[in-house]
Amino acid sequence: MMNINFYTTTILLSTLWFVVTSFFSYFKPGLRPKLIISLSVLATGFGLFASLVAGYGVYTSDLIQIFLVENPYFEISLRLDSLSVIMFSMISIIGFVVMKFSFNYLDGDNRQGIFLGRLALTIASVQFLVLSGSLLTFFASWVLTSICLHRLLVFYPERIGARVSAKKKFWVARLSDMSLLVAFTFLFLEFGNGNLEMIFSQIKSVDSLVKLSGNVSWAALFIAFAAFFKSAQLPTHGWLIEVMETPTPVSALLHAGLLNAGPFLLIRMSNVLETSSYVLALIIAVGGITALYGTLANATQTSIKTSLGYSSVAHMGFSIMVCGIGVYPAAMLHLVGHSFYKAHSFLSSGSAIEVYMASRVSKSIKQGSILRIGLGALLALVVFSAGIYFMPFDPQDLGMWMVSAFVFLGIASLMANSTDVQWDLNLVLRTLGAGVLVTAMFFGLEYMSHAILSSQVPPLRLPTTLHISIVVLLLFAFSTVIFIQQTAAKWQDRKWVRVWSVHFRNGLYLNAVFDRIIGTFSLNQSGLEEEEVMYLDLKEEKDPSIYSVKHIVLKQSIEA
Amino acid sequence: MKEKITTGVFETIKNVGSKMPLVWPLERSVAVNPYLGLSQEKFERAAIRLDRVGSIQVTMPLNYYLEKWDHNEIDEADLSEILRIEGREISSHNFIEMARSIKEEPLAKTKTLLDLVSESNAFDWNRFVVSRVSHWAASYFDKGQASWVAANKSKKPFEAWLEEAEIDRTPKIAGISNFSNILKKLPRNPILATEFVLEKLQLDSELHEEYLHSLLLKLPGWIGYAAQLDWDNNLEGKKSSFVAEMTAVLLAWEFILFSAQKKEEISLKWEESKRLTLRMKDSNSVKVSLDTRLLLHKAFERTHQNEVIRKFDKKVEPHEVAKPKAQAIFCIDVRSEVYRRKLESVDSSIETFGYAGFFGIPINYLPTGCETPEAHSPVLLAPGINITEKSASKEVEETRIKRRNRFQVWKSFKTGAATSFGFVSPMGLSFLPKIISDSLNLTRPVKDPQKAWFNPKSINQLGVDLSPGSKNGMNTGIPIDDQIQLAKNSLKGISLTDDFAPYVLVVGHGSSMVNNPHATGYQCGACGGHSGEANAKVFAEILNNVEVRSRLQKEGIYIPVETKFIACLHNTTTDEITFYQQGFHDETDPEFLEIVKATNKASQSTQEERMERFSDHKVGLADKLVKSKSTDWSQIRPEWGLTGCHSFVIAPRARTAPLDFKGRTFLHSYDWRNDENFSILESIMTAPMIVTSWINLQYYSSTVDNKFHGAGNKTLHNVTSGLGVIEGASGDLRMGLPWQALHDGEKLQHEPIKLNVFIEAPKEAINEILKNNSNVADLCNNGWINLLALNSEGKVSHRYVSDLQWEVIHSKAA
Repeated sequence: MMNINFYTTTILLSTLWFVVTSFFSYFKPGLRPKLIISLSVLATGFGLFASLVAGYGVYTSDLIQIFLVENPYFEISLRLDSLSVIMFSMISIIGFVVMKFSFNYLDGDNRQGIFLGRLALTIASVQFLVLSGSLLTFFASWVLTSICLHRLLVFYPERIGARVSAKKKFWVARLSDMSLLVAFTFLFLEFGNGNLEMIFSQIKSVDSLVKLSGNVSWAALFIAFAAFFKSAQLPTHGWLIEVMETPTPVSALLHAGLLNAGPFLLIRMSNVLETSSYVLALIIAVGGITALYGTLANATQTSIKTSLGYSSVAHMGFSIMVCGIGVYPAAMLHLVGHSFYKAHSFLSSGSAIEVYMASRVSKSIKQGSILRIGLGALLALVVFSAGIYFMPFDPQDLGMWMVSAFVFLGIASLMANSTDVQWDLNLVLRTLGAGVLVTAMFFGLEYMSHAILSSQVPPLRLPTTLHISIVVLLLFAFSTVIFIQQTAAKWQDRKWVRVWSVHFRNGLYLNAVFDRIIGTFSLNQSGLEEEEVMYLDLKEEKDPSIYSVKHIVLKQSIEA
Repeated sequence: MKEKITTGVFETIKNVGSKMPLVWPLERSVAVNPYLGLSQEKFERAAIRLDRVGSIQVTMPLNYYLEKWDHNEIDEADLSEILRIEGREISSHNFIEMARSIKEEPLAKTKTLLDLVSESNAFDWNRFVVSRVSHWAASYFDKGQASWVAANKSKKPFEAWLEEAEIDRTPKIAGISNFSNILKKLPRNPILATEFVLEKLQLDSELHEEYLHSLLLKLPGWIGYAAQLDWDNNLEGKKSSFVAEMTAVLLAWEFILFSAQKKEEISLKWEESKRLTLRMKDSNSVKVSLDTRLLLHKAFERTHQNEVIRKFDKKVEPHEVAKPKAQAIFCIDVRSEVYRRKLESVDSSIETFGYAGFFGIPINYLPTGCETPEAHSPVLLAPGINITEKSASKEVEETRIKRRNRFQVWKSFKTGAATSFGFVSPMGLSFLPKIISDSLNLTRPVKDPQKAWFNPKSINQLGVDLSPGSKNGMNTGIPIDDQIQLAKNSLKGISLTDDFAPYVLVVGHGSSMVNNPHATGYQCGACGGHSGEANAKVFAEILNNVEVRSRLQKEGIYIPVETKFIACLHNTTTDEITFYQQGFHDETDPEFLEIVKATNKASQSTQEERMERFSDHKVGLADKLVKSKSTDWSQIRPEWGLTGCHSFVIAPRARTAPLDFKGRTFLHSYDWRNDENFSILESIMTAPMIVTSWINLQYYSSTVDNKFHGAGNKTLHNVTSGLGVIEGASGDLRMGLPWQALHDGEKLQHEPIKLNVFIEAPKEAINEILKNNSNVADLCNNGWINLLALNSEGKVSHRYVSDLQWEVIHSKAA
């Protein structure tokens, strides 16, 4: 095993590089900042190296704690464990991609240096957040991430839209900070210590939850609120679908990096959450409803980035819901997969025209036949059952089955897509192959995720009746949506479908209410004052000579 | 409400609609002259009008010109002359002193109710309404970005908007409590609604035009797109009233805001505003600052023009290729200029020609596996020829459709509502390798639409099918008689009717870049925003037809049997040349190999020259740089395209061959001595000259007022409705060019200079053509194009003033 100092140095250097980059951007704020670009390359490169080192560290010893300030009241510490290292590596990769993208994408911007500096500082803050080992570290970096992000969101401060969305984000983020502060205060009061490992082990060592005071349940509740606010859960999602008023790489970093803070918090604090089944029920409900809402609103959007925004709302909701069900490794898998998927979607959003152009090649039309859709679903069931059979999950892991059910709906739809078009056996067989692949990937990755994270999250438990009821309702709603979508041809011209489509395209007006509250459209009247304008008289238009003036007499304003 | 529809209002709307810029969808974006509908006015009058109705600028800010003056880019003599012509008795130095003392003036413009109500409630109704109408329009005109379509596309726009307005709760939440009641008062017919609102607003008919113009300019992007739909329909002879429908939508909003206010208060303001509008309209005066800028701009253009004129003074060595080994026909595009110059210098026995890049063959092109064809022709034309892509076998098409279906099944799973969760959990991680390889330019973020789902092997064998037939209910192919006619016209237009070389390269052009919503803007404009590949193939195929050749001979055009026409593509992003029709000619023929070698050398040296315009250019690494620019998904300046275009030369190549125009000049081959009744010149002046002016004014307008006529900041672009971009999260569709395509961060790469057209032909002939074509005459008379004539020695001898008058240019040989 390597020396603890080695890990400390590597990790701190990685973050330090980004901070240094940001620091120097103060001196090279402008056009084509070669120095900042070189520093960024080094920082992102070192970040990747540090993730390898950290990964090795966790591989050899499950938990490495790095204490920077060891006072129990003001402890500042980092922890390397399987959860934090996965997040750290993910941020490092996304950071690398986003930084590299920004070199050319913002080339010629006369504030590129500042941009890269702010990007670097934001990456550093997220790195610190995911590695936090104590309440204080966690809270400080939690606040820091949103402050750094804020500076990126108003990169073009002259844009009204940028200011408005940043303002929305600002207030929601402060609510999130407040919630987290309350939650952590409860935890500190209960355990008298800020070290996460101490808190977790104390909770784990209590054999019955009854022995914990109400403080922990309150903490769980406010942790949930902090996560809802941080990750754009209903009804506070409004800012997320408007923050594309800043260059694309910021959106990529936000959606693939910072937005994850909510579900990450829930996974990190899973031991605390598990103490209150009511809070878990709330998490399932809010996450599930947000997922459903986001996915429907997404389908109606006509602008690529807005549509991706709603998609992120939905996927954050899904991850949060899965946390509530108690299958934290599944939530983590979804989170990580979503990050890469969404970062790619944002960075490639300029290709949307090409996607449309390619779509001109003829395709089979969905028939909307119940029988054929049924056949597809049946095929999916066969494949999925086989997956279940071969995968070593305990039949008693009800939570896992519930999560699988959501994935199954997707695979059923995949199969139905192939059976419900003009019959083509080759197409069906190939799709079946794809279905097998997806199923195998799902169970395989779930298995791996459980194995890797087992030390960091509580074991699967039996959901309560309340949890089961909520999930069943959600599953019913999800399947209805998928069924309607699959048979859209039958419905799309019905009046009620159109009405709801308008409602969803407007995000059920939640943002309009938000706009009203914060005064999005209020106008600063001072800008409208009119000054006097000087005019010259022109010759008659019929005059054959070119445009020319009659008198060189300056007249006062026309209003005279 | 059962009033008769008066033609008056309809005419006014049509008239105002024609003043709006046209906006083409980005799948086939072409440069357009946004001032098209204003070209019957003098440039300066249009400037005053646009400033008055929309605060739109057609010159740069004053400081720009003052800096030009300081750097001697405005010649003192030129400024003095402009001042003299315009009747200002002031010396140029005093004028500049006066200019320095002028403050840029605040915006005073014709107001609509949107402006008035915004001012009186301190609520930005302008932004609100633009965002609401755009939100609906994006859904109504969506080409498929939303999978769940909200707007009712089966209805005409105004009715569809009304239907949605009845559902939408946003206005109510924003504070218009009686929104639905007001809505009910509106007639459901757009023209009746228009009349109804104009009457309710008690707007005199003399104010209609001024007011409506100002109103439409609130939403220029979507109105422009509607105008483009009308344009296309009119070309095909169909009735179309998208602009009128959209006008009704905006008027409805005016009415809604008017009705939602306290009657007395708003009426008073409105009356006052109308009086002011009338006075401004009739005042026949110009703001001092605008006047100053217009004069300085004129002087700036004159100085620049003189520089170009001086280029022609260079001693021209008579350059005659005795027996050319190849002739290459290029598009008139400014990017061809560099390549042609390089190719000729690499191998002086290769002759080059400039002609419109669709080679005179306007086609509707149907790619393999597609159902509806795309027009590969200048947007001024509605092509009557349908051509299908020809593949080696029937299976190629079947394979493509099959693969596309497989892809669709997967895509629905990936992006479907509620199914995407089942995708992301198991498959999301597959984007980790993808995002890395895309970052390293190893892979393309999405499929190349031209190559998608083809078996890679079959792509190289794709050709064009000219044989008459039918597909998807269309007649396809070109009958032989038409082929001969087309061939004859084009060859005459190119001025290539004898002395054919053994190889004639028909070089279309296209670009290659990734992840750029404006990519088609870099394609061939003469091919309607597509690559010139298909047109080049059609042209070459026609001329390789033995029957065509034998019948052309009867028309006096003799093409030797051994002459081969080869379709090629000039990739303007990488400057590589692709040769098509493999197997048709002997590829081991040493003469052919020499040509290939020459093109390779020319490519290299073109790359070197072109890359000098980029800040990241390093000597000797140009080939690597162009490669990375054409494959990099984060690249916002893959090439400079037509940026910087300022001139168009219509003359034999011998006149321009020794001159270096730095890739900023359109070149059309033309020899008036072979043009009996000047019909070729007429066709050049009425088509390519108009098109080059469109391109030039598109770049011009995006440069001088990027906020209005340009597409804004590229890093904020948000692709919308599969047809355009918005900037940021909401707002109107953006037209024109992004700022990054005009400016490199340090300086403008496109200086706003209106097109200088140099024609070598007798002035009388040019005058005759102007007399017969009022649209061309308007452009020249009113200062939208600067027309110049070359004398028989190829020197610039005359400048067109106006109304068929020319002035002599005294050569100021330096």
